[in-house]
Amino acid sequence: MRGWCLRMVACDLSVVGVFEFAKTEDGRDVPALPVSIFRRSLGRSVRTLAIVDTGFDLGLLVSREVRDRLLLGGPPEAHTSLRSGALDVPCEVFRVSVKVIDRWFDVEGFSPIFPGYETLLGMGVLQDLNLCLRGTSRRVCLAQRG
Amino acid sequence: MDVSVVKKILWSLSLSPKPINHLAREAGVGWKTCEKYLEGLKLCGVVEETVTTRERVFSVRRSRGDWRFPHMSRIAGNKVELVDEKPSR
Repeated sequence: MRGWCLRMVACDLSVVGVFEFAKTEDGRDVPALPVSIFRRSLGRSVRTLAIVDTGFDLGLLVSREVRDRLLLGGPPEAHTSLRSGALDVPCEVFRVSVKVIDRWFDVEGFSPIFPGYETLLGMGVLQDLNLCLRGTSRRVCLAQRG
Repeated sequence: MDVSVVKKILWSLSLSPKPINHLAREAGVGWKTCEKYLEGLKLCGVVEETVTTRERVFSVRRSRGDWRFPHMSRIAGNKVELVDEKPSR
């Protein structure tokens, strides 16, 4: 090292949850977290597993199965399109709160009108969490300060 | 160009690369028509072509930083259930 020094400091985070990677239908291991998705007009939450996707800029993508439950609370708040590569994917938008471990986040949940998508946690939520992806042991750890 | 045909072709290609005859069938157009659409999309830089010994395979052109929709990445046996849980505010 020239001109600067990298100093190792003690990490002040402590692990509050450890979750095994989930297995996808095509046999891959993906980081996933249990989430509860609350919609005010429904008055209840939908609990499911969500894939951790740092490539998704928004907060929450909602699978068709979750969307069907959220729809019990009335029609979606809005419609929009998400850009994916060369495609515009039409989506329904639900205003929801999503709970990861013990923290709630107010986000918009985007549900593609086409089936086949999984629920995703995107950067809109992930940037407020301390996640440690331990790929070698197929675990994702959630940490908090203190 | 019929926009609905373009959308069908791009939607199909977003799932996996395909040869022209597959795309033509899925888009409901003839082989020659489909080829014209694909040539147009190739000129626009939207799709790219790979020539094999047997056929021409087209795929959606990806650039760094693109977010790929996670097609087929469904969690096996993922349960979805309604629970009485709400934010405390």
